[in-house]
Amino acid sequence: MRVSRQAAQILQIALIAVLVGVLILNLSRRRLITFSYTVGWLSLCGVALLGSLLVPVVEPISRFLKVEPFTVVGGSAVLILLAICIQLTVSISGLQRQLNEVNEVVALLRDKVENDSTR
Amino acid sequence: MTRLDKSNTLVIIPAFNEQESIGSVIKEMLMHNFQFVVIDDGSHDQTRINAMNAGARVVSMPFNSGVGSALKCGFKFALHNGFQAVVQCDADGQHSAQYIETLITHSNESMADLVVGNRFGSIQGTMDVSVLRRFAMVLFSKVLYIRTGLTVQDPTSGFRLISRPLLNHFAEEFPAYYLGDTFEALILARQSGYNVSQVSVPFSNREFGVSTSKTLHTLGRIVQLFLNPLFVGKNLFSPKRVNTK
Repeated sequence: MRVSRQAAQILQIALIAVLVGVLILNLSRRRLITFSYTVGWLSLCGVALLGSLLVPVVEPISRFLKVEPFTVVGGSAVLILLAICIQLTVSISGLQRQLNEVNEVVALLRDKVENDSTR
Repeated sequence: MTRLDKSNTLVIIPAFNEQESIGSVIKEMLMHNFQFVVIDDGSHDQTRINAMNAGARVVSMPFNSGVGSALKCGFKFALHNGFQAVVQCDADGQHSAQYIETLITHSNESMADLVVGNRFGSIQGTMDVSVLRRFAMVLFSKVLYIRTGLTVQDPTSGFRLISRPLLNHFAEEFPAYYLGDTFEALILARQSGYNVSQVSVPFSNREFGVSTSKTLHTLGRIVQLFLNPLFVGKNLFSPKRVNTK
């Protein structure tokens, strides 16, 4: 049986989306990522699955850009991933700042407790 | 402005893995009757124990957050305990306690909110630095002058006095990253309308341990300097956010 090039690309994108989805669910079940991030990533997988079905739809765009439909869908995914990375960087920077604040306050409270108890 | 003296000025000694030198630094503080606190920035060695054994009050941070965060912790400690000013002093023995009074006297005379101890202006003892660091310091001075009109020969000196109300601001908002606590703090202070001054202090080179100043950090900071307007373009100190009483 010979699979058309377009069908192969749809299958490739769908397969990647399903594999990433399974990985995310696995990480979430092991409580390595929080629920909100699980929802975010699964939504992205859903979009990718939908995107794979939309390969015929993006065909005119790919013809205009003179690239493969797979490249258009893949490029869109890269842009989304870039946005997620930037959001995560902002989030981590905020957390780092909060962590420093907590560290400072814990140190001061520990000092207060130790000095009050020795009085 | 309250006149500063030993009774209302707290010496803050941020320390990270300084077990060899911390004891002698504390002895010197005790000898000169300064009120001081050691902020142990999550040291892995015996810094905390050695400091306590030498007679210091030690505030221990659970893990290492960097010198900026340790200083901020010290600023909060000073404010909670009613001090009018703080003097930052390294735990490696490079800053001699006898010159803390030089900073205090200069602050009273110049009415400066922030006094920088200049390590290169004294004939008694000066600092040995690599060509790269010397270049970086000249560059930092120039950028500081362009950005704020301030002439500070040694903008990366960690030996400095900070008094209220600037101290209140720094306890709330203080750059925690490399060189943020020195160079960037000067820009923030000046841009917020505080008086900044410098005074020459003799300086001895580090006898123990390893400096946190690294070549890559310095290079990175030079790159950041050119992007500086993007990083410190805004006044972080909003009077509405900070209680300056």
